[in-house]
Amino acid sequence: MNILLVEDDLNLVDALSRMLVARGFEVVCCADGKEALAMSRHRPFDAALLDLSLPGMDGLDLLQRLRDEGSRLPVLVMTARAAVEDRVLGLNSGADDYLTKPFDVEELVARLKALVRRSQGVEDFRCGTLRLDMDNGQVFRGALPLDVSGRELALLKALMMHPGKAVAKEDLLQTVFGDDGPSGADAIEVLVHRLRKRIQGSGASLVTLRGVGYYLMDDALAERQDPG
Amino acid sequence: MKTVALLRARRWSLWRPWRAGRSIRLFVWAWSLGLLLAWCLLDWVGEPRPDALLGLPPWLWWGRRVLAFAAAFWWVLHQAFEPVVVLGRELDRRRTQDLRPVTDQQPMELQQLAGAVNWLMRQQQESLDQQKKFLADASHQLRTPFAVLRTQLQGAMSGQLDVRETLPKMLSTVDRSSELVRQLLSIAKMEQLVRRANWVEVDLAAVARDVVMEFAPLLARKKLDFSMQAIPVRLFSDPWLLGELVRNLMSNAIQHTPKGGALGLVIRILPGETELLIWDNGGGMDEAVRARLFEPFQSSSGTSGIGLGLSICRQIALSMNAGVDLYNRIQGNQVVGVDAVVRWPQEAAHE
Repeated sequence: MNILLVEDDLNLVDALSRMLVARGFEVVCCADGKEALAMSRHRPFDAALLDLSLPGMDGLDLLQRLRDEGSRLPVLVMTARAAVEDRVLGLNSGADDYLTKPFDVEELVARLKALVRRSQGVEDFRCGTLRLDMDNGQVFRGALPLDVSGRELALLKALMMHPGKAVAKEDLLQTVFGDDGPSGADAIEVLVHRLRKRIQGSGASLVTLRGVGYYLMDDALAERQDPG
Repeated sequence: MKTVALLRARRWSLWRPWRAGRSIRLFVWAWSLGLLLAWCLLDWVGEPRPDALLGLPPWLWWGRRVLAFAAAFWWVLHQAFEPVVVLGRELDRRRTQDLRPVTDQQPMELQQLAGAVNWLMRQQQESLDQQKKFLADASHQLRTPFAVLRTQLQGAMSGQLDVRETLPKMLSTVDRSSELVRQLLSIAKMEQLVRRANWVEVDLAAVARDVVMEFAPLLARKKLDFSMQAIPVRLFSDPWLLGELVRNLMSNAIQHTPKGGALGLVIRILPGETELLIWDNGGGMDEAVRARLFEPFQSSSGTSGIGLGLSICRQIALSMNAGVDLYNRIQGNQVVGVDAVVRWPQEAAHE
């Protein structure tokens, strides 16, 4: 994957680019906004990692220019400015995702990969050994399709499509049962109980936040983020 | 005899109303009365009028008299307002940092004003002192992790510390200082929002739910058994402030609960108040440090907390007329955990 890394702190560029290269990315580094703009016109990239405080041209301006020129390059913004967070979060900034500095490199790589996959139309979500294939709506465990009922599949899909995020109980109820489903949350709890048994040992665990919602955890990722 | 005379002199003076305790009103009143009497006296003893004797026109006599009385009255008012002008001039001349009290040797009518000004000055001084202390503490807290990092790094580079063992420790040092920076920024944002006081109706339960969802990865990683029981409660507040309040209390509860333990969040309405309760099973806190925990940079011993979270919570709660408190929860003669409780008075909340 071709990545354009736009960042003016050379220490960060050095460490980050080495780590990305070690993970199989091809990285082109730029320390300047104008240079980055020229570079992005010059050759195609799969995604850009963009710092917001840049010499020459501000990161948000650069983003604006890119989008004005019709570029659909997926952009992951890295920001250390607290006040900017809200503006980046607003959809009109043109950023596809953002991370606040300092960030976890594992998290950065996971988001970057997801971003590239999404932009290439390969909408597959992974958690542990589970993989959601968006083409046929099937969930695979390794190479084999997971044996689940229709509603269990709907539930699992809803959770897998929000990687790293919890899903509210009400939203799940709506997704799985639709408008005229059972009103009690017990129905979901029963379903979760059965699903939990089915995905046992797949490297994904289904966590209940009682009274709030559910969360699908990638065990390996959690282990890497929390070595303690 | 002498003291009585002195006391009377302190009460009011014919010439100077600006001595301590004298009444400006009495001064003006007495002089007005005196001038009125003088006017009447002139009318009464004035016959035959000197202008008539000299054959001057009557308007000249009247004109002089009116002018003389106006001048006298102007002098009275000038004297009466002199203390106000003096006080104003003194405050005007002050430098911004000069927070010494103004003299309370003021006429009766100005004593309340001087008192209020001095109260403000004292408050300002206190908050300035607090800021100074905060800055000193913050600088200590910011420098310490860098000192730790530098030592660890030098140790690892020189081969005196085992690299594999040192690096994870350095990572946790970095995380700790990032959290400190986040909290310091959070304080700045909180103070700004509290000053602006742009309150809107916020659903506490919805805010709490969002915060819990944010914490989902952390809760899952620590394999914590979490539960939430909440009824919708509308509060007049700012969504970010309310979120920050819940976030800090949740973060504390998660930090203190051991892996696999239980914690929870309850929102309920009690007679006369609305309550947010976040309970954990972290083994409780030392009663001796309990009161201190709400001060900046005070954290319970043996934890890696920075000690700003609860101070932020208290300030946010204060801005909503709410109170926040910590209690040890006791089961069977044993402290099992902490209940963090925020209470809003009834009028602040409505269903």
